[in-house]
Order: sequence, then C-alpha cells, then structure tokens
Amino acid sequence: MLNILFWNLNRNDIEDYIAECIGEHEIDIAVFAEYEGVKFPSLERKLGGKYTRITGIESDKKVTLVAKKTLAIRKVQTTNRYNLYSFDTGVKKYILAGVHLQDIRNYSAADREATIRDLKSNIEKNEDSFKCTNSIVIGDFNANPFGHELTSVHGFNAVLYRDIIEKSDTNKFEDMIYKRFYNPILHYISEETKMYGSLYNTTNDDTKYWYCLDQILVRKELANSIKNMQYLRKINAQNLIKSVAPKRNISDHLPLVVCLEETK
Amino acid sequence: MKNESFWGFDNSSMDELVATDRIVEVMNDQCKYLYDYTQGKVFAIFDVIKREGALLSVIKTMSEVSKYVSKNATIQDTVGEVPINELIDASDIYCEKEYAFEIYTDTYRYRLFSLKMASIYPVKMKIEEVVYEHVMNELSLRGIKSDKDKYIVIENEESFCDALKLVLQDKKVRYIINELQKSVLSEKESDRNVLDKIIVCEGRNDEIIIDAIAQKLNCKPIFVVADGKNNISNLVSNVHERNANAQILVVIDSDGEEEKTKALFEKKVGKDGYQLLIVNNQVEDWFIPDVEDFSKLKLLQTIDTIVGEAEFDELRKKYDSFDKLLKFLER
Repeated sequence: MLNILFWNLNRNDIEDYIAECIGEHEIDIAVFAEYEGVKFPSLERKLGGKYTRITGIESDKKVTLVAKKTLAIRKVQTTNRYNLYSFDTGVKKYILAGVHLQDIRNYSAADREATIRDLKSNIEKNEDSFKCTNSIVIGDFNANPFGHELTSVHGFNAVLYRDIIEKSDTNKFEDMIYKRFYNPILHYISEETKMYGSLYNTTNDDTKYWYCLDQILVRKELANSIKNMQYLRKINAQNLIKSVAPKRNISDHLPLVVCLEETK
Repeated sequence: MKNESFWGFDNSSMDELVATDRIVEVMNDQCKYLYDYTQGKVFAIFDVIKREGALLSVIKTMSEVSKYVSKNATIQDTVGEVPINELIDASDIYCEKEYAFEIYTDTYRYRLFSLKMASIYPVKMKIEEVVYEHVMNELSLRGIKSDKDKYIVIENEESFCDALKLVLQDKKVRYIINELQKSVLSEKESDRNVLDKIIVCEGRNDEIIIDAIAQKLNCKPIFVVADGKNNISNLVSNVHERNANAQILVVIDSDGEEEKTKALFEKKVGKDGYQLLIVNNQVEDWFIPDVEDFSKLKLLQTIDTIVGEAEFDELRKKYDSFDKLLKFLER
C-alpha cells in the first residue's frame, strides 16, 4: 500500500501532530502547504531520522514534501504554486504534483485555472519524459470537486465517476483532445463516516459549511488503485475538531490521507 | 474617381514592423552553447508551451473539415488554383504563442522564463521571480520596462539580446547550472544502486526493523511493503517483472508454521527470481522484548538505538533467518 498525506498546516508549529499522524497511518509521503511554522530538522528527529524532506536545487515555495528514506524519490520541478516529483516504489513508477492553488479571497477562478493549465502541461511533459502515466495531483486546490477549476477541460478536466474515465481517459471539446483525471471524492463523502470536507466556513450567505478544498486526482491508470481516502478528525486520541470546526491552533484544514493499492 | 488607399504602405508605420524571426535562432544557439559547455550534462529547450489539448488527429486537412461540416461532396476544394489543404490561414502567421525556456537534466527542470511572441515585436518575457528581482533594475536602466504583471516588454532585437544576456548571466542561473551538473554526477552514482536490492516484507514494522539493520551495515535497499501476508505473492510477481536484474529478498513471518508458509508461497510465486526468508515467528522476535507493544512512532524513534546496541554476531548464531538477512545485505 502507498499511503500519502496532504495537510495545509496553517503555518502552525505542530510537529508532534504531524509525527503522530505519519506514525499512525504509516505514511510513505507527506505533502504540506503553509508549512512555514514547522522546523523540519526537529520533525525528522521526531520520526527517528527515518523520513527526510525532499529538497532540490531550488527552495520550496508553496508546498514541501517529506518522505520515508527507503523510498526512491526526487524533486523534478519547483514552481510558485506546485512542485513535481517522481518516485519509484519498486512496484511502480509515479509522478506526483503537490499543489497549493491561489486562495478564493484574493484570486479568481481564472487565476487558478491559469496555474492548472501550466501544471497540466508540465505533468504531460513529465509523463512523456519518464514514460509514466501513474500521475497523482494532491493538495489544497482552493476549489471544490464540482468547481469549474476541477471539472472544466480548461481546468483539471477531472471526472468524478470511475465509469466515465474507464471508458476513456480523454475527451473531445471543440476539436481538441483533453486528458482526464479521476477525482475519487464522491465515493468517500458521507454523513455516516462524517467525511464532510477539509475546511469549515460559515462566512458566506450561501455557505455549504464544509468544503472539500484538499483533494487528490489521479490518472485513469490509478483510478482503481485508490483503496481509501479520508479527512482525519482525530490523530490517535487527539481530536482535531472543536465543536463543529477544525481547531485553528492545530490547523484550519483537516489532514487528507489517501491509500493506494500497488498491485492494481 | 480614385479612392484613397487606406493601407498606409507609404507611411513610416510599415518601417516600425520589426520581425521576431531571429529570436528562435538566437535561443536555439543558447541551448547549444549550454549543452556544449556542460558536455551534455545540462541542456536547455526553447519551445512552445502546449497549454490546451491536442488537435483531433482524425481531421488532417481543411478540405476534410469542410466536407465533414457540410456533408457536401461537391464542396469547392480550391481557392483559385490553390488546393484548400495547402492554404495557410494567415492569422496563424501573426498569432501570439507562448514559449518557455527551460534548463533541464534528465531528472530536473527549471523554467527560466516564458516568452509571449508573435511575428513582430514587441515581445513579453516573464522571468522566474528571483532572477527577475536581480535583473529588473538593470533592465530598467536600459529602458526595458515591465508591465503590471511583471512581464518585461521588449521592443526590438537589440533589447531582447540585452535582456537575455542579463538573465543568462544572473548568479542564480549560474548556481542552478553548477548544481545541476553536480547532481547529474551524483544521480548517476545513486541510480546504479537504487534498485539493486529490493526487500519485500509483510508489514511496516518489518520494514522499519530491517531498514535499521541495513543502515548499520551501510546498505540502502528499497523496501516494498505488502501490508499483509495475502498481498505478498502478487507484489513479488510485480516487483520481479519490473526489476529482473535486482536482487530480491522476500521476508515473511512464519507465525509458527514455517513449512506451511514456505509451501504456500512457493506454490503461488514459484521458486525463481527471488530469495525467500521465513522468520520464526516474526521479525520483531529478533529484538524482543525491546520492541514489544511499541507503537509505530515509538518504533521509528527507538529502533536505531536498539539495533545499534545489538550484537549482530550473537543474533546470527541465535537466528538462522537473521544470518540469512545479513548475508543478503552484505553481498
């Protein structure tokens, strides 16, 4: 199993929570946004020196990644809003994009879509270079699963239904062919499991209360590999929710953990 | 009555049209110089950024498009004497495209700038943020201005070459090229070792413990964790298929049934392409009671100390499986 964590840390110094989460969920790769509060050498020590931050020639900007040392992983590209990585588990080769798109308050959907188009172009270039289409995009998209940024051909072109992507991993629109991603979120959102979203917000007059801003998208090749995804409401015995919303002193976002089965 | 020509062919505005056709040539030469300077370790590409999807490959010629749209077999397929499929849409010649200049190795890409360019100047260059901060003042002194989106606006070839020279000689770019050259050398070394030794084990605890043992022996195998005995045979087949040249060790806990575990596994996977290590009863037994009832995090935090203090020679004598593991790692 390949276990991936994404967490927007709200610039809080929460190394103990991160270490507990990584230990409890046997995380292989952890991607973080708003990570400036974390002292990574201290986090690495708390993880027994078994994990390391994957740096490259350029400093991280919006996202950073920590991975277990037994994984062959390297950073391929750093940009203002996302980083690209390639890694090999021995079973499969993957491309991973960790993203933190522009926030809703200060930027428009068009700004996010411009970044998404750039990201897609770079993912496709890397898929050609590495001859690998096991691509994963994970992060804080600052957009919801049904939002234009996710569903439009000019955005991620992410479909929410496995049936659709299994039929074809591309679609045609106005004489152009667009590659698709699969967004598994619909399978996991549930009142039964209280899997509502990653961010709680009631400031708008038409608030949805819970927003799934932190998501994972995969190519068709990995659509059947996703065994589980969850927004964690607890880490070991520690509750991440106070009353109804995430505890801001930990983070305003709940962590997202995704498990992928490697043999499929 | 003769009407006035509104084309403006006679006035100076035609002289203001400065073509950008030399830019691609200049950039391709810069790519070649970088390749030569780094002896092929680092290279650069100047190419159109493909942002939208690909054109449908089924529609190859304009005449096919016309027939498809009109479903009319008698549609005109020439304009004058020129077949439609040889006519070029003149607006395509002018249209602005966006190019990227990226510095590469086989495993890393760095976009130094993008360039919005049509057939005539001005062109607009968006330089990577840090380099832009370094060069913006000098650019400004040379009369090259930026717009509100930090695109620098270049009016002619001379200004383009000035800007390009400043950017390519920026200290960050120099640093990146040096570091990329070094990384190519160290990656070649580590790639040789990365998938040499692969250990497939049942669970995360096994990985943590065996990795600590490997670290003590200065060895860095890749681990594939099956997350359960039932998954291990499928995983081993996949790993072997992908890594035919690697040495593969499969570590399984016997849970008290060594012969049965071995027979079951060999029945599913066969006997070739890997070494099988069956541990009686489980990997943790090598260090019991030190690791008993540890949480995953506690195991991560303490295993190096526990393994560091362990006497490997004694463990080798006590456990055949431990001896077999060390032989694999030491090979």
